[in-house]
Amino acid sequence: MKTNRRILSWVALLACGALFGEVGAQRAAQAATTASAGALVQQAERELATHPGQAVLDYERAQLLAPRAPEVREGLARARAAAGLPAQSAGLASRIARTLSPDEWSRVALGALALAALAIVGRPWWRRWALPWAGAALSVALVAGAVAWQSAPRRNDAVVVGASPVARIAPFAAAQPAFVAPEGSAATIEAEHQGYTRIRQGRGVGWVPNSAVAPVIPRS
Amino acid sequence: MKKSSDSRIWTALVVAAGVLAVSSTTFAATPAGATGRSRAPARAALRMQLQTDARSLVVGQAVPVTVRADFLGGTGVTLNGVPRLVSDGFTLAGISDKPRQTEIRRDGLPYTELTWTGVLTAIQAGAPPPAIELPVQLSYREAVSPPAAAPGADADSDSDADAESNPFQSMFAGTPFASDPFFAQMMKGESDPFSHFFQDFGGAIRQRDVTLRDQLARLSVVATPHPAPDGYAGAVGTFHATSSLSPAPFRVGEPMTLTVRVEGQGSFDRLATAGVPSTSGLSTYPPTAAFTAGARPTAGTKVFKQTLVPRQAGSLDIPAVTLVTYDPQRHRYVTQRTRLLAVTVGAAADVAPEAASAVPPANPVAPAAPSTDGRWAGESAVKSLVPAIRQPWFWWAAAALVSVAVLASVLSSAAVRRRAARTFGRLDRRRLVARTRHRLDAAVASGDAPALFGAAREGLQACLSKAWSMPAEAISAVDVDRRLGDRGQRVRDIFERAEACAYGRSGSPRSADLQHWRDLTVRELDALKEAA
Repeated sequence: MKTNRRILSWVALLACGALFGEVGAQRAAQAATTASAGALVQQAERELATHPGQAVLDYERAQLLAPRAPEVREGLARARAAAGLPAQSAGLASRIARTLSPDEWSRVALGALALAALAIVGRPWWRRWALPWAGAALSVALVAGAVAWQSAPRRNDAVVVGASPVARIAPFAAAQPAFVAPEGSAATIEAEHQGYTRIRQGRGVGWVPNSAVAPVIPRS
Repeated sequence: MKKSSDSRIWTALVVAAGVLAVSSTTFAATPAGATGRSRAPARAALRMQLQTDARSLVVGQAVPVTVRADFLGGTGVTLNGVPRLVSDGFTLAGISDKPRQTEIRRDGLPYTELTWTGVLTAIQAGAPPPAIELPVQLSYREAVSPPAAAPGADADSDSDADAESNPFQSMFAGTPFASDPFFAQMMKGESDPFSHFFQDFGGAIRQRDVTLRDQLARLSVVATPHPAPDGYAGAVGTFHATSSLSPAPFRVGEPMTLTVRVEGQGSFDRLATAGVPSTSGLSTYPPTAAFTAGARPTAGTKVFKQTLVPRQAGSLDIPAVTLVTYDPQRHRYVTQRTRLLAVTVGAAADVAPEAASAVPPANPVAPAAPSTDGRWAGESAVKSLVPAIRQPWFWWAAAALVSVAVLASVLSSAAVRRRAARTFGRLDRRRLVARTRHRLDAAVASGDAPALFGAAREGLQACLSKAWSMPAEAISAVDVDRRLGDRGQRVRDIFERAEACAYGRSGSPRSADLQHWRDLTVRELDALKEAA
């Protein structure tokens, strides 16, 4: 038993070291990816009349930080309406997922995973309850992790912030138009080349100027 | 020239008053029944109707309008666009791309009717009634018709026309049949007994691009009375405005939202308000507007939202919002004012009440947070926009936890536990031997015999205690003799020499002897380390 404790202590020590090292390395890189929901809402309200696409982006970001705030939800609907986009209809699963932010779901998953690990480590002492407890915690971790993974925006998820730019089939101004990307609509960034960004939407794939599209998660 | 009295005309005909343009040629048309020719069935027709009895509109007034296009059954129709307004004094909005299609009967004939609805807005006083156009392509089988002279044409031209339309006429010229009255009548198509038969079966397929057109008969536009009151933005209709504030509590520097909801019928796109003006105790943002269409074309709801930021604690009156419109039914301007809202503003969360009322914020139009209640207090904190699950540390932590769990499961196995115990025991002994060797070297270097033998004995005791599972201090030369026999002779010698040194029974050995004992001890420690 003493040997077990020593092995686990060494593993935990190494894991903590790696974790803190990683967090420290990330902290500086994430300075540009931080914001407050309040500031984002103010910014969105200022942009709503003139740049509804930017307002949609700000509200999308604010919703990542304050998913339960009705002001953010209503503001996003107003911004989408101002951009001429149809109203979003949220199903039951979507409403449940929005009770917590993707970050909160992630932390719930990690906490549940920690409880599951604790139950497995403590199995010699809690023989009766260890496995049921570990199973329940692991289930919670898997569900919360799946919701977080699904609801968290990807690094290449973006919003069209330009005034309904024309997406072209090649990255230069004289290229043939492919489709018009509505302002405020969601897009996926696929590549960048000489001032143009290749985006994918339901309408197809096309190149728009870099300034016409912005990622939901700002680049650090 | 005498014309046939039962001739049929199947080219584009119109049943309603208006103008029909065919292939860039425009013909004036009159309603069906007005003349003998217009009694023929119309192949296509366009009509625009206002859904109101008004014959006069004011500038800015919006009325629903219906545009109908009728096409005779059997006619192939391709729409080349949607109905477009031809007028500088009106605008047409809300016309859908896909019209409603119904089958109707008119004068006993089947027609396909396409219907669009929209909103017609008058924008210029004195403008003539608007016209509407619909570009279409018609495909139909044109019936064979006998040569017909245009009204007013002379006899020579009639003869030429006859010759062109009937190539057989010249073939019979100069023959005895030419003077025959029966043939002459037949060549001119008069009273031809087979003419109707060929008209029904011998027509050619025709395809024409046609622009159908219609114009409202009577509709005048008048200007609103002058001068207009301040705040009038051009909205005409009947509206009702209400206002409300976001829920309390209110604090200095924290925004509140004033919502003005306007319901009614009219030109909502011209409905605007400046909102609440800034005062010494209140900073304001320009209002934003959102429109929701109602069931009827010109009905709906427009919601204005304005952000207000209190600058002073205490009682605060939110001024009424003024909305100026023109009522076309009562023919006068209407000024509506929402109710005055009295609220109590608390001090800022981190400022004492006295300070809050005395010192206005440095930047009153840039509040610290958009909150209207306590829930938002925590949302002003700066957080990362990257969810944890998208960050590497999350996966490192998850991997560490899974590793710990897996490791714990594996270690619960007894065999693994024993193997691990042996491994750790061996590691401990190696560390012990290394430490002892270090002490021995130090003792040799300093010529300290008691320290040398003391370190040698302690090292050997520690090694043997790991192997024999007994306390190190309890291991003596007797135990070594009993357990190891002859193999423990050198260890026993070291123990005895250590005892002698400890109690001063031995003289100081030479340095060469110390080195010898040091080497001997190291050899024994190495042997014990591996053997155990």
